[in-house]
Amino acid sequence: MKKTAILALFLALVMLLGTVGCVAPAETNENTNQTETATSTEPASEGTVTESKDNYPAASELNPYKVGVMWYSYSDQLGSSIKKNLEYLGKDFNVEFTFVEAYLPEDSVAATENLIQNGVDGIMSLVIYPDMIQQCETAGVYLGQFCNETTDVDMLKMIADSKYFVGMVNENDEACGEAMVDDLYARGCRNIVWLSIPAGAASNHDSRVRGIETAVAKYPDLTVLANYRGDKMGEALQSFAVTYPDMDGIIATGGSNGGTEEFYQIMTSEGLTDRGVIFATIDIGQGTGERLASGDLGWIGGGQFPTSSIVFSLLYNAITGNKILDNPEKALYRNFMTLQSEDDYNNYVKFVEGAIPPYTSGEIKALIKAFNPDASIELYNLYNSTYSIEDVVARHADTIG
Amino acid sequence: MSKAKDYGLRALKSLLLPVVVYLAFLIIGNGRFGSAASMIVIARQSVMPILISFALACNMSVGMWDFSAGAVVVIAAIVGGNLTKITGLGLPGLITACILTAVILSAFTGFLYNVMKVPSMVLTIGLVLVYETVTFLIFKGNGALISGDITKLASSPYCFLVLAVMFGIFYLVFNYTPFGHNVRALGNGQLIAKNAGLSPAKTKFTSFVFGGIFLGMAAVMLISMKGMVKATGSMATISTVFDAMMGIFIGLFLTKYCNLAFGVFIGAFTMKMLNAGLIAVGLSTTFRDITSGLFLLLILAISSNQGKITEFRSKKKRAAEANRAFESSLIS
Amino acid sequence: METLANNHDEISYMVLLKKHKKKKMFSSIIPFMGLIFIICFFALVTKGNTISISNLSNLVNQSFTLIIVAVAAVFVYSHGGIDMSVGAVQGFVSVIIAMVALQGVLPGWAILPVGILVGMFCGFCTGSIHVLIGVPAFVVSLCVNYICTGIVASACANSDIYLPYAQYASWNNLLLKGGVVLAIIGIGFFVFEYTKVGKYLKAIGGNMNTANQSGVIVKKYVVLAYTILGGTVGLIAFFALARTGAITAQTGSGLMLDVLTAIVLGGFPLAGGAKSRIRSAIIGALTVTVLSNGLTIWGIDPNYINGIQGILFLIIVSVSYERKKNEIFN
Repeated sequence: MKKTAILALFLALVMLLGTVGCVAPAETNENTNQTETATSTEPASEGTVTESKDNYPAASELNPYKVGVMWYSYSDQLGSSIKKNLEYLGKDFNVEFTFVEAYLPEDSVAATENLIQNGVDGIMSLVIYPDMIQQCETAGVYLGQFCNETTDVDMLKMIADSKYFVGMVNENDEACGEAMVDDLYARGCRNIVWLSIPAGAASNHDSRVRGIETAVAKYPDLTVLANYRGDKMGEALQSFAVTYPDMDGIIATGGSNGGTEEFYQIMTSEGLTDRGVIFATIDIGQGTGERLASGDLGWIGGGQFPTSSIVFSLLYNAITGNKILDNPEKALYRNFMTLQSEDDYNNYVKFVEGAIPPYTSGEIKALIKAFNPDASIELYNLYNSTYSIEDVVARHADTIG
Repeated sequence: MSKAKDYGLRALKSLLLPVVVYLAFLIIGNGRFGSAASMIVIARQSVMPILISFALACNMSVGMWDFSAGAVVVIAAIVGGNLTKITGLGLPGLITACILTAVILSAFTGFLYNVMKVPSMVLTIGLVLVYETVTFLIFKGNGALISGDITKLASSPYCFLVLAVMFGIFYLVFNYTPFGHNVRALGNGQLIAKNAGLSPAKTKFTSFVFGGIFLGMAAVMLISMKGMVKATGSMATISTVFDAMMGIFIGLFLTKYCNLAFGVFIGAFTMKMLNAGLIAVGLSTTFRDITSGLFLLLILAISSNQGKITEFRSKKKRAAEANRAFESSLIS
Repeated sequence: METLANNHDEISYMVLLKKHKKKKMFSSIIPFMGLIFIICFFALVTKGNTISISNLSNLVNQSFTLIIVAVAAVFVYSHGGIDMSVGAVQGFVSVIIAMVALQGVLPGWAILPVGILVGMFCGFCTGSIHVLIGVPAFVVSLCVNYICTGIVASACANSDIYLPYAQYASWNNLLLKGGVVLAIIGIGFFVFEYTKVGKYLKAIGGNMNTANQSGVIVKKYVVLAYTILGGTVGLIAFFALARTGAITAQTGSGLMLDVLTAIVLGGFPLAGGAKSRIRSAIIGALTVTVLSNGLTIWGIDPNYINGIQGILFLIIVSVSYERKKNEIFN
């Protein structure tokens, strides 16, 4: 009797969780009640929204497609922004997204099998492994990589020979690492420390570290007092704060999921702000505005999630019969969005983290050859090279009042 | 006099481990380890792991595991951080909300343990998955962010005050209350304790609830130190538990010389010092992990074989005495 | 002398025995029923997608690693042991295999035994340190985990390691892998149920002192159990590498918890003993795989997948776990 009661209670909980869990992605195909024009009409978090009309087909006029998205974790800030961004696009493109958490080789290969079984027309993934390319070739499913790039020579050859690989779009992590060092040096920092996650854990961070090391080599009068690679960057920073009283600059290669906020907290609690230490990092967190205003924060980059929109458009082009890139083994690079002032941060909150993302569905539709015959690699390069907070504000100032 | 001498000797043996670790890194750290300021930082960083170790120590004394402790800390921090902002109750509100949340969750774990009657390892691994999902369901999965005066417990001397109070609570409860007596009795032999009239189920439930108080306080320290606590998934919170367990294993080893409360304190602090020392020396993550693992293995190898060492010594002593007796009999 | 009282006792005993057998049968088939339930459930919600031929072949590929390691893990768990290092050992063996393969000195079929031997060595170390030094298996295997993880991270510090995919793709053959799984299950079943290895391990799990006093060389069989597990981890590391073509710093990191989940979901007694069964591991491994496969194909929000898995895990364990009356467990 007790067992039956436990069983009944838990089965009810499972059903509840399953229903809740199923709700979010499943509605995109049925949700054709959007406006006639392909624009989101949800209100922005701040300001008023006016409809922005374009001539591209609305969701109701488009064929339904399914796209699988593989990312290491949607509980991560970047992951959840990517998911929100793609769900927004999915409504206006009539695309159903299936989100899967996968990063390890075996998990990624299994997730690819499951997504193909799910009937997806395309897959976009953070990581690419050889068997994934093979599976997509066999199944006729398009594959793209975002926020990362493949560098292995054999894999690049597989990509080049593949009919179904659409491209890789990544931020220039190495340049970003260099930029952080250049910025701190320009601000007068001569004794810096840098912190990163464990080597090999994420290739983006490894690239940023390479950039840091390259830039440091340029400046003979710049000293790296210490560096740390591990999971406890905050604690390492606390130790460095007391061990190196002459430290005047700190670089962290990332601070997603509360990491940036933790660094800000430590800057204050360890008296680093009083000492005039300047900080540079990636991943824009809460409190960035105040830090930029006070001068503690020298360089901060972020806003990477719209890269998913670019890769989605490459996939959509391929699915609709217009593969854009002839040489997908060459990655396309995008800028990091960098903020310089408190106003920049306020604009970031309004124009980047609001309900309307940095690229509206109309702007992404402009990249689709089936809707815009002028869509080309040059247009992609323009989007990628002009990406900045000024660019987003200029494009959306009228839309978000 | 001999009692004081014995006490002093045991205290020295308890402190030998952290002192050896300190001296080793002071020598090889090349000036980057060992200053008063850096030791204070290490001590501050140890507060949260020590609190979690206290929470787990009671359970582990009776052979129970609680892999969900890390997830409970995260939920308590998120609830506490958000409720504090909503109610405007400041630091007292944060402490109350975090401790209440952690106690309720721990009580739920204890309740499930008694009702389901499955091994704690199995139960708590399942609960990690459930509790981590809860962090996405509460407050829209946004976590919690606090700043300002509310976070002052993370700084010294407040963090040490917190530690002293919680240490005192653990020490008193574990050594001077019927509950603590029952835990120790169960730890020495569950069947015997049960036959003597003790209720294992009740004691284990109380152990979970008692541990919840420390997990709640650990949640306060977590959000105070970091300022922000986000929803966590993919069983990431289990690593917090493993870290705390390392301190407990050393603590249990040190119970030969000192009380469990001191042992756990020394064990957790020593592991933190070891980690800080390895960073100061400049070792990569790889070698830090390997060194920590080997260190723990060495400690437990000594612990597991101490009886054999003592036996060997006493055998040697008896053999030497027998030899002397034989030789003197030959002479006479 | 036969009396009414005697008859009454006998009847009560028979009733109790029947009740006990029913309860035992119920507990032992619950994991199997759980597996059937989730297969049917996912078939329903995905409109038969999960039981299509293509997905069944996916399931063979996806369950390959877990079934083999779970079957071998039975040897360790049956004597009350635990091994926290299986994932890290997989990573470590993968690195060694990749280094050998990239040298191009040995053909593919010769690299497989290298993997098995390296895995056996790791298992042997874990078991030996545990029995010779007397440190709990949990701690020894955790330390081996840290060491192997560190080595893999170091090897992949600059970049992931890739194998020339085309060269080893032939090992990713469904028939071959199906055959290997069946062979491992067959050998494992035979050794565990019909040889003294299994019997002695169960005896050690039941009561180590009794087993020792009955003449079982406990240390030998414990080390053997860990060596068997290590060897099979080496085997799957080769096939996993052939399938994926790549090693990262986190290769194998989820395997330990997956194996533990599989063991428990299959109704295997964690303390080991006479009730240990190979079939529990197989059912558990299939359950874990079908769950993961089904939830993805169904399209569940990934933030909720873990919660659902956790709740199902707790349900199945609470219903299937065999408890003795007045048993004291931890």
